[in-house]
Amino acid sequence: MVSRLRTGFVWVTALIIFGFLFYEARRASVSLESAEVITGWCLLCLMVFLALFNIRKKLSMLPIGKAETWLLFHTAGGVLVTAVYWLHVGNLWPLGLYEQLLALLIYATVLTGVFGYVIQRTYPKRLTQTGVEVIYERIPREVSELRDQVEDLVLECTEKTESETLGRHYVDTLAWYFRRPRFFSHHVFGSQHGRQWLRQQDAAVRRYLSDDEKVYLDQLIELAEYKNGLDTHYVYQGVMKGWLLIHVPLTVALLVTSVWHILLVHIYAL
Amino acid sequence: MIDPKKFSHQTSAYERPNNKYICGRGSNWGTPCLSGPNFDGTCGGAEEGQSPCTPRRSLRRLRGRYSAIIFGLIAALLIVFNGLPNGSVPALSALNPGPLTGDHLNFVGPSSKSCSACHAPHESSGWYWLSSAFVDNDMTSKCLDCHIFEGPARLAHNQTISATQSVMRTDCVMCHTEHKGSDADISALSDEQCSICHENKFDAFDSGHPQFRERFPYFIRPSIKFDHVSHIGKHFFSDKYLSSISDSKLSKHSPLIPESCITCHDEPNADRRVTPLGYDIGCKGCHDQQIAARELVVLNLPELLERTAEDDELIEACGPTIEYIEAVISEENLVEDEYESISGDELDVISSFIFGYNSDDIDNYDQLFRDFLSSIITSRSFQISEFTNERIGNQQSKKLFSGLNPEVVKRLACAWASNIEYELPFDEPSYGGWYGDFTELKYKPTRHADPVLRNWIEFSINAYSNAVGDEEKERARIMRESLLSPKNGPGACLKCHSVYQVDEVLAVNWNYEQTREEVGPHQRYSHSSHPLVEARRKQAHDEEIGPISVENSKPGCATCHQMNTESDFRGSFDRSLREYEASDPSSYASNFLGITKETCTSCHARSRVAQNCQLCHQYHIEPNYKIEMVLEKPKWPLENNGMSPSN
Repeated sequence: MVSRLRTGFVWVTALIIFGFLFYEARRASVSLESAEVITGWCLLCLMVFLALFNIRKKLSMLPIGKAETWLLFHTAGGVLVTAVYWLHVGNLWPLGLYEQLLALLIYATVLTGVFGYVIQRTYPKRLTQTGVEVIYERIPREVSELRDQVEDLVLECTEKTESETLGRHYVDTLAWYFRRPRFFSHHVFGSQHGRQWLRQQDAAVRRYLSDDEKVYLDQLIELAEYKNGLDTHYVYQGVMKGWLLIHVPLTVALLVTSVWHILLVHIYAL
Repeated sequence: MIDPKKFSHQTSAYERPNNKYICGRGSNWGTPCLSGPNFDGTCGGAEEGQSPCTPRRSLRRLRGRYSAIIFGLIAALLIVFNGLPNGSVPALSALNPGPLTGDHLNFVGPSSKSCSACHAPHESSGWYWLSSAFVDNDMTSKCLDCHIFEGPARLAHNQTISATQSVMRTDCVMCHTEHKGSDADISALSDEQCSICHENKFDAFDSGHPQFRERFPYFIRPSIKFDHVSHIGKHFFSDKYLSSISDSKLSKHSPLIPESCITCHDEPNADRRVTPLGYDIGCKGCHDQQIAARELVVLNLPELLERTAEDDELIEACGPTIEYIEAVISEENLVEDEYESISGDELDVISSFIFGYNSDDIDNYDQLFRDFLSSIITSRSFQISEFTNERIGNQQSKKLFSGLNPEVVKRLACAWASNIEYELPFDEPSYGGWYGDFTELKYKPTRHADPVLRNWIEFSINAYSNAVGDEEKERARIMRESLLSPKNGPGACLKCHSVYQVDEVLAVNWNYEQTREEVGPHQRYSHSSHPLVEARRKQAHDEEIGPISVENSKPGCATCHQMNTESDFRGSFDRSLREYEASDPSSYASNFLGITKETCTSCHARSRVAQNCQLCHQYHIEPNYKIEMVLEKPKWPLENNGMSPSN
């Protein structure tokens, strides 16, 4: 309840700020003053404020509010920046090449931000559905340990059943699967292709196995299912961390070009 | 759930996601070591006895690295593209905020160097360039390098408005901002922007705009005194008038009656004014013959007291007269009888003024006139200025007697000196010009806008104000009344051409456009953009509807221009003719009723046609360009900004 109130308060505040800026820009325009100066400086302030979120994450030891609160401000501020940008420019796409670069950067930054926000809201639920919990940095170790575990199992199967059918099948197909996370693009879009592939492999080999081997195969498939969950974690957590590789550099580029834009405007036009 | 045993300090690796590096073995999907890489990027596994790996950069490290790369890339691009404004690829310049409007682009050209046509270059040093961000740019002065106005450019509406009103100083960029594209309208203003300064605020033209002034827009009498009421009401369509003229006259008169307003007015090229098509189209048919009949008698032989010259002098100068030869042949006594002047007239009003004697002052003008005649017959040149009022002078004489043939003058003078009337050897000159007839030197106008008659009219209307002394003023007044009388002579010109006064000097409106602007400098109107006239013009091609009728021009011109049959139109001009010095061009009664606001609001209102301020008002007074902008292609940047001209 408190969280919803806080969220509502932040969004209403953003709306009020935009309303005030809209009114002020219109007043300035009607009064033959430069509305662009007002909206431009506000836009820069907002962008700097949004960029501070990245610093806040690095300075987690400082008591400057929860990251959750900052994210809420960051989200509402991002939407506000888009609206104020349109107010500042007066249209969706400017004419000058440099202004177009600025527009491209701001749109790209906002879109990557929206993408990040969406995946932060949707991927955790999907991760819960996998039934696996793992820290992203530990996934390589988990995969490595799993691979060792599977290889031990296959060796044990070969030794005890004196049949190399499962072992050969592992070497030909499943070893590739356990080598590293697979089906990246399928996981990104929530596809169950990895699981389907496992079933195909299971069906392909099961008919040639003895009952003893089938017990080992069941254990192997169970471990492969766990590996599929790890792959999902790897992909989702990777995307949730990796989108910042685009968003943050774009923000840097946007700030640099914005500062240059302001400098030019004040040197040549104001 | 995660197995908590996994995080045991003995079995779990110490994950350091904020570290700059991650284990290289794990990155290659091998088994990462427990201790992970060192902070300096070296492998920490070597201390555990494992073969060393090559640690990879962590995501955070990569983010920082990518940010630094893109920062450098943007900075490099800015430096590269900022270096482009040397005319090569201006559209790619980091300084170029967008295309100029077509008009400005035509003047400054596509070269980026031409930026300095409007912007101060700030190029002396990097520090100066940077510090200029904190100094205001005076872009208005750059605008005024090319643009000029009829009033102070930096004041609102280019006007020095009353000091009681606080009107802020204006800059061009307050209303006009560039780089919005070649088709952008950078002069558009909203009604709200107009009303920000105006004390009388209202929402819309139809609801709050004040009523137009009385007689709008007929404030100043027109240059040409064309009486629409008398022409349309009497000469064109009055049954009484048409029945009073003979059939032969009527057959010539009827085809000359204009079919519509636009028979005489230039509607296809109309904008603010629908100017008359001129004398040849609108007036010549009926009035050309009247002009030819308006002869000017410049000199009339007055009564003289004595003979101008002896016979031998006359024979030597002019040759023997017929009377002399007949007397010699008949061997009659050549002894002259007592002299009796062939003319019994007083000095005419023009001669009275130019010679400087009253008409009845025969004792004084006699000798002067005889000397004048003697001078003509004995001199090789005709120099009337030697005998005239000193304020006429040689230059004025040249204008007044332009085209006067000395042969004609000498023959006339010889006849008058011989005390005989001069008889033309043929009828009156059909094609106009100077000629002598009995005791008069006349000028017959050759055509409309005859230059000699124009000179005489201008001379006569200014003679009074230039005259010195009561006697001379009286002679000037009499001459002016006589010359400008509409009943005879060239005064008929002023039946159509009005007189106006500028800086104490009277002048005649010879052309239609010579009068001052009738309405305020900030008002504008375009006839061509109003569909009523245009629609009627197109309908004119439809035989069933017919053209705009002069008799009933609704819904054409008369929608707005309704005739006022009660107005004393002629009286406005006649009064000013009698009182030249006090002729106030605004004291005039128009042929038309004033246009009221309701005429406009019948169309320009909410939910109808646009009614914004700029539709009828323009902000500037006579916006124009400096002459050098028009005559020659400017070389940008201008020399005064310290930069060399571009190619």
